Amino acid sequence: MELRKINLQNFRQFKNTTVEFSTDVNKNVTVILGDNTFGKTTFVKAFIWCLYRQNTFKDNKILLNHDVQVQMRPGESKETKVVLTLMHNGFDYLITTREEYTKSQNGNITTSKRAQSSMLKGCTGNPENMKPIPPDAVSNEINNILREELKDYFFFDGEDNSIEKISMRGNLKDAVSNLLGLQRLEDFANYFSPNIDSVRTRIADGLEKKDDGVTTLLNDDLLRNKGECQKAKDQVKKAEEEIDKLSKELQDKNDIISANKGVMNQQEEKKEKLDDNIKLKEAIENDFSNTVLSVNTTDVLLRSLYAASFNKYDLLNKLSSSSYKSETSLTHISTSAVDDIIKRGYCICGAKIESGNEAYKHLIESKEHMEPNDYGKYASDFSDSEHYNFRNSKVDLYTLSNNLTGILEKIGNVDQNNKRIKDITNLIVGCPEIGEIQQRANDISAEIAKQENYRDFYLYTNIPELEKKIQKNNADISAASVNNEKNNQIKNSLKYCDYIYLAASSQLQVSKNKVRNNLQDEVTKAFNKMYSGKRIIRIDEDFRVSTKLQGFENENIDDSGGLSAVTNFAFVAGLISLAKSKMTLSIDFSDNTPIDENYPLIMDAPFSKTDEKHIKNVCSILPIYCNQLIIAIMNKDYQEAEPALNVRVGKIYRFIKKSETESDIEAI
Amino acid sequence: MTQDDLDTETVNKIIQATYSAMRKKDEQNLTKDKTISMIKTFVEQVTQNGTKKD
Repeated sequence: MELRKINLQNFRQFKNTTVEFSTDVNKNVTVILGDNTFGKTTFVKAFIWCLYRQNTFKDNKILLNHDVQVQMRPGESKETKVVLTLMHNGFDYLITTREEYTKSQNGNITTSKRAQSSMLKGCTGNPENMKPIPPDAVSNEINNILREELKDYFFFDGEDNSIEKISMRGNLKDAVSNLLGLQRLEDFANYFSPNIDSVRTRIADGLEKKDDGVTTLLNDDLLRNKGECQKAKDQVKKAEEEIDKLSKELQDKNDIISANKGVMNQQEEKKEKLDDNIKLKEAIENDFSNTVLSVNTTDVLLRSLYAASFNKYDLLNKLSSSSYKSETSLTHISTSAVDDIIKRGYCICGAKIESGNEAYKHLIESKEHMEPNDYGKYASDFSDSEHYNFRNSKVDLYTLSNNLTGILEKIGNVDQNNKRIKDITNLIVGCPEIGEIQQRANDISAEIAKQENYRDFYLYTNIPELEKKIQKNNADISAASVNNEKNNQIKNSLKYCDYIYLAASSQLQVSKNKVRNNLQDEVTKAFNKMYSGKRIIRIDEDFRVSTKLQGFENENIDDSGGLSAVTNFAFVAGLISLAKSKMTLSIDFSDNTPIDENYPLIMDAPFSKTDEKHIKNVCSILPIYCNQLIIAIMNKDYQEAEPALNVRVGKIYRFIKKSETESDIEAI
Repeated sequence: MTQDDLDTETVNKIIQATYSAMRKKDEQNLTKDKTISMIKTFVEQVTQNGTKKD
């Protein structure tokens, strides 16, 4: 495909803008300079809309120019239109896509005719002989020029489809298979497959079979195995669709995570503060509960108050100097007990007691040192006890005070946390919840791995087993069929079908490995010209590209955004280079019809994440790999790119921003 | 099965005819059913008219 010219009419901010692209082989670069909001992204999206009628604008789905919308009268209709002129495979094409809008009585603009494409086609060099293609065949024609699923590998709008995302796209495996001819070989093999509706199975249907039980059983077995095989293939397809869907979702999540790393840190800090507050509040409740319990169980306050009062009134000294404080006091015995002993006439020790004898006198004298005549011992014990209380109450109060201080500190920490949480909340208001997105990304990765295992089981275990059974069924049925001339001819056809199927399947397996190795070689060549460092390129079985540090090939090392951009530029260059030479991949199964393998690259702000040195390297390499390079680029990036790109620039334009609703493009 | 049992020219004819049918399918938006029928007819013609090596 060679892009010649594009014309945008009432398409977003472009009222009537035409750009012709350089088709000079040696000067195959067209540059359009413009800063942000000048219309670079719109310009690239115009190609996608014209070719595939895909409106990928996020903010406003109405494509009609805003000024035109304002000027329209109620009931009036206007159309937006993009006309693309290109050459492909020896034919000129004029593709026009238009959409009509109508203004309602209340001033609303609605789509009155959905986007439709028309096409004129003619042999190159005979513009007057271009003929219209029937409307229902236009999409098919466009897909023959460039399949829709491949568009993301050639049109980079810098938003949904930036160069950095190219090797992580969900449909990468299918796209590379398509681009490098593997899909065509697989489609070819399937025409001779014994397992699905194919040339082979339809020829086999013509076999005249014996009407016996054995043939019936063989046919039943064949049908059952074919049914199971088809179900297994459906499961593979389902798993691959799910993997594609999940991969896209994962890419979206990773983009959000990557774009919100600052927010993620703040959200993590907020979560830490919230968790900290939960722990602090639990600790406060526990500390307070323990303190109250301690006050209750030890009567610490009451004892302290009592001891303080005891001390305050100097009761210790007063008691010490009191007659009650006596060492001769007898406790736990009263004068009544002594009276009873005297009355009894003999002592506990057995001494006889008579009025006036020594024992009697001793007992009478002892009565002076016991209750109710003498409480000295009680007073002494009480004095000691309160003295002890007074000393220890200071410790108790100190402990109580410490506990309460600790609680107050924790309350202070909660307040500080709350203040920080409030600040962070204000900072990140409206931002996505990155923690949840990260969790979802982890879940998606696990689900993708599960689906891949599921797919691989069917693909490499279940289906091959069933295919072997089907082959045996076919051989048995063929052997058990009627032996006549017609059947012999059919069996001869089947031999060819089976040989071609086996050879094509085998070629497909060989080609898959060869394509991966060749792609790795081509990308490596381009990468080595663009990047100077100790990195090597790896392409995995799903054609995903990554770089490894030399000497650490088995370790995953994070790529910087800049390295990732250079890697993906190299990947696209290698892919295009290999696509040009895909015809040499298969020898026995080559499709000899010449096919246009020219691929243009159309890019919006491709170097926004590439440093100065690598911009120069990429710019000197890309025009060599692709046939046509059309880049909408910011002035500051072009200053870096110009020295390397200048020699290849065939046409140069600049965006002119006339107003917020009108831009134009003019040649420099 | 080996190619020794078969005629190489016939194999190549089938391969080229199949690719031709696949291109026609793309260019003319043919159904898969129609494409299979086209190839089947061709295979039967070239393999059932005495091209087999014996």
